Amino acid sequence: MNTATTPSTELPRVSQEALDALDARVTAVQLPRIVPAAAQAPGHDQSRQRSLLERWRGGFDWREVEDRIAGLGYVETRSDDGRRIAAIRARAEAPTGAPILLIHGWPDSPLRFIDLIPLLTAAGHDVVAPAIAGFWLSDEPEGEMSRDIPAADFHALMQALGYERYAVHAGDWGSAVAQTIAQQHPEGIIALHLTDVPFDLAYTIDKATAGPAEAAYLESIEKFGDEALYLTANTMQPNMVATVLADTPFGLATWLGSLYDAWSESRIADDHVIANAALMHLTSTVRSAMRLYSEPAMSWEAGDDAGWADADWGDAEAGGEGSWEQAADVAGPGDAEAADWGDAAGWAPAAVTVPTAFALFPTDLATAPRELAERFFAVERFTIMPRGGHFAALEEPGLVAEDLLQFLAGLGHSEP
Amino acid sequence: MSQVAEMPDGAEACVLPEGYGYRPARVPLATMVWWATIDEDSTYTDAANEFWGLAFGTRADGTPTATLAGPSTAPRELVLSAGERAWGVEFAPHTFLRGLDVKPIDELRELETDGRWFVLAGTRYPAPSLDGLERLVQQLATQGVLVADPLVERALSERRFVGSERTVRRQMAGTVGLGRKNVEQLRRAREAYRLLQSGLPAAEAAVAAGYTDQSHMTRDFRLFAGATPGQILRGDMSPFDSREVGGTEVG
Repeated sequence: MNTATTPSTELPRVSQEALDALDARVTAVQLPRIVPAAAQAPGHDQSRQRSLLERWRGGFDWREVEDRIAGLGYVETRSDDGRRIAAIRARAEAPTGAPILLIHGWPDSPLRFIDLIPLLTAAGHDVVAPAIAGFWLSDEPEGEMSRDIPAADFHALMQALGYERYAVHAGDWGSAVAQTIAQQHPEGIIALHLTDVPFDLAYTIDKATAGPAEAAYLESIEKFGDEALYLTANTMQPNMVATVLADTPFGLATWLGSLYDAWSESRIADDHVIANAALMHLTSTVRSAMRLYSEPAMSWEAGDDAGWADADWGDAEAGGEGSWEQAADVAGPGDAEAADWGDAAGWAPAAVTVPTAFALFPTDLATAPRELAERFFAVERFTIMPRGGHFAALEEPGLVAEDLLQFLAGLGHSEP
Repeated sequence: MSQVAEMPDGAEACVLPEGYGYRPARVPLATMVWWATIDEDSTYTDAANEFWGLAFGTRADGTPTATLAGPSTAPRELVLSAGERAWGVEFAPHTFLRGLDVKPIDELRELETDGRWFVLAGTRYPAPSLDGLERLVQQLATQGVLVADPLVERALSERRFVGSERTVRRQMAGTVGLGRKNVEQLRRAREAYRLLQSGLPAAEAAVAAGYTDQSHMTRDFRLFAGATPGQILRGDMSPFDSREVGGTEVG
């Protein structure tokens, strides 16, 4: 971490030209012709798409999103290899509780936490919501991407901001990053509060040891993996799909919108979907955001890929980040999203020893049984929420805040 | 005495004038969902039965309650206070809670609750409304906390068992908590009640239900319901009226 320079707090604003160009693309969008007979095809209905378009042409204002971020606070630092690490950073008026690191997932960004952050700062917690490398304003790595990179970035960021020990709340890929940080820096992590069990952990379980609830969960995850369009796109055809999505911001919004709808209980406002699509388009992060899915999987798939062999062996010899030694100690084969990990069963990821709470929302992709979580985490609190889905911080920020703060209060790190 | 109301999904609910009602559950593993609004202080005697369940409610002073009710081997006298409300879900006898070594037979176990959440086997769940009970059941099943034993289910529904008598006894002890013969006896009493309700004279009802004679039926009614058939038929809400009798059971 480049600690010589003070972290900058000036939010880089998108140029007006870029915004105008974006608006022009959306205005000129060419929608497909879908006759009534064709409209009967399976898949989501078009009502979300219609309302997204109307809103984007009508009231959506990117400057409002920027203002909101700036209002909460922005900070950026540089990694040792010169990459920008950007974050929303909000301070409590009277910081009586532990600082909280919020980690987003795919396909979103720190905007996931836009409604949660004020609830946490009001309760006396400083909050840092950074973007994973390759998302928003955080630069992607030139070399191979893995969860180790954001894990290292974020721990360094928290140290640079003066937060020696902190709590982490996360969901989706953020849970995997949180797990990695806790494995690598248990002394710095007060607690983890997660809205899901990282999915790739499921593939490291020896099925013979799975209980019935775990077996059912594993089956549903595998089935989900086989059927989910976005998963196939991100892992198997990222370059082609990224090329399609990067050129059309509205197409991207439609793509993301279908996921928001599929994974949420109540309807998430158009503005949230548009904001993430606009953000991805304006920062050119459509492809980079897929790399957590595409990279480790591709490195395992391509047995005879010279490029992969070069990158990995080289790193191993240098003992740098991403080397085999480090990987074996830390996260094991859990990095890959691809199914069928028969021979990986021996590589159990190192257990997380910091106090962990799970808050599982019913309409999320899957609800893991407690015993599965207990294989990998020191579970101290396990709550099934009454409503809400995958984007819980957006859909039910009150429930998330309440459970997180109660958990921290129980550990002596929040004043209720 | 009781009215049959139609629910929005076409299922039938049974609503009793005493403020108690029930309807079939819409999820597997559960048998029914029930609710009660108590208008005046009273007591209700619930007949012994092999079912178990979760109940939620509020006391007259507004205090929330959450209860794990086990199967009962004797009539269960419930003291009801004016202003109380309760609702709950009943589970099939072949299901059980993983994490509990034995079913809480004859027990009404109070669970920690603040009205919005309750704690079961160390995990926090939303305290459900009447309409949210089935969602809770699904969550319990997904968590692997509410578990069904297919062997026992078959034994109970087909009255045939796979394997040895000893296997069945062991399985049933671990799931139902009561023995096979106990369950038979409880069902016989319910069947007899159904026949009596339909107008059959006592002697005939006894034989049709499978009793050797009427005196055996009377004895079992006293054992399970705390009253004779005559007394029960003369009263208002009988100990057998809190659930569907006959129809859903085989034999």
